[in-house]
Amino acid sequence: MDFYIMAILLGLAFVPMALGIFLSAKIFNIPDITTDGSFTLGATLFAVMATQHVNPYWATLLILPAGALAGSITGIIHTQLKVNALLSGILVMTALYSCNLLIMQKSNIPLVNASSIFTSVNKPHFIFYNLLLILAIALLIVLCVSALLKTDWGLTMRATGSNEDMVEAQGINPNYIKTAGLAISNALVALSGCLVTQLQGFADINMGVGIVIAGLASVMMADSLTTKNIKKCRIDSCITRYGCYAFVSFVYCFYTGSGYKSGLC
Amino acid sequence: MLEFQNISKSFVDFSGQKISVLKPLSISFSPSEFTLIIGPNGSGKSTILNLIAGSLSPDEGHILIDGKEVQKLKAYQRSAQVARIFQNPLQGTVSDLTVMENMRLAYLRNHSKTLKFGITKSFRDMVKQHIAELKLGLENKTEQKMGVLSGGQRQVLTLVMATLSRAQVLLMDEPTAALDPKSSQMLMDNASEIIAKKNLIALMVTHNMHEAAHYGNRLLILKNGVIEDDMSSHRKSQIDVTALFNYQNQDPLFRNSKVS
Repeated sequence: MDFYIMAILLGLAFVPMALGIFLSAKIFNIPDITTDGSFTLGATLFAVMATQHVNPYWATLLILPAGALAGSITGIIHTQLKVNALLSGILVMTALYSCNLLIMQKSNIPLVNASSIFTSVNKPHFIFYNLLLILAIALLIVLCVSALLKTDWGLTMRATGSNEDMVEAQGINPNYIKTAGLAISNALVALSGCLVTQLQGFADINMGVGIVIAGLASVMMADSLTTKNIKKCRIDSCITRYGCYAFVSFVYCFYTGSGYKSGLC
Repeated sequence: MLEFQNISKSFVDFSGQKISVLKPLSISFSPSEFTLIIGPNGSGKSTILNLIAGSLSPDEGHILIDGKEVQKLKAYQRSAQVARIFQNPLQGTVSDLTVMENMRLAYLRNHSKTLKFGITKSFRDMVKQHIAELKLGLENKTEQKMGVLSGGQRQVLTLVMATLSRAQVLLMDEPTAALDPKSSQMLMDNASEIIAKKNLIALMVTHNMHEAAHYGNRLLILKNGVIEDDMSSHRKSQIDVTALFNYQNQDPLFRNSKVS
């Protein structure tokens, strides 16, 4: 039973990552490889802060600007230096590998007795508490992203991905929007990395490898689900759409999560 | 008032040779003047529009909008003053967004894009009123995706978007090239009406002699980067389609190609 509960928790911890990839892949049409690096960045930063006894809630919040910084560097390299989007992501991912090693000073930090936002396995009702907490985080992020995309600013963001010429003709600097969008996307990914670290109890230099693939897979699966079924059911509100993205990424990550877990056990 | 002062533009081709597209040109356009530009391919028609919109910058000279120099500003910085309708209906609108969201984007042209929900009830009513003025029944389709509308409908909505943004200059680059005759007529009628009503400075490039003869109140004939003829409203009203064809057929560039 514990095995499946843990997989559900891991699946939910991947929800912010899936929404981050959704932003970069679906809205900007950029498969953002930075994700692999920023996921680990979130994990390593949290691990270092946890071993220094920083309050875990503050540490989790501090992960967001760190991820945003990584994303905006990719954005700046892509828009200002006119480097291909895929290549600039790869560059930053590779750079982040060294940064992460530098942050941790070694390739792996165990968090056996360190504090986290999740209660430890030894306490009673830990499953319900952890499940509720991570559900609340996932729900909050789904709501925030769907609300953001409905604002005036979010509207310009959605337009940038689909028709850049028109957006420029409407007086919007597409470079600025792209950089900001990549920053938000990577902030979410880093948050996800930090949540996964807290659940699994260690940070590892290689834990981000292949994350972008998992994210792209969940976005594609959710995409085919929403474009076919949702139109048929005439449910097309923003929240159901993004909720669906989150749900499918959860299901997918449950599947990978259980594989992940069984590899560890 | 839109002014060109000694504007020239040249391109360098792949062999390094300089091709002069626009010879030094000084001209001015005033509000509610609907200028049509005709001329053979490569005569510099689209270059004029691109220079005004900011997609190209001139080699020399000044472009003034209301007495303010704009030639150094980027396209997105000029967009508060300049609205544009492209030849391809897909280019002027975002297919993935609804009609209402497209309208909101156009409206935001002169506003800062903040984190607030801009599509409110009053905004919806305002947009519907604007669209209803077209008398095409499109005001009931504002929640549909732009992508499901026809090319003609999208072009007309682009026109509404240009007026929502309160730009002073309206540039149209063969807006009817991809439309059927009925949609073209609808677009041209609506454009003429809106230009007159909102006092816009309008420039339109066309290859359609029928449009050149029937619409607008000024006609520029361009050849090899030089304005060959500048017809005012009075002279323009005296010519018809045949006269325009004959005029162009005297041109050595046209003489060999038969225009039916």
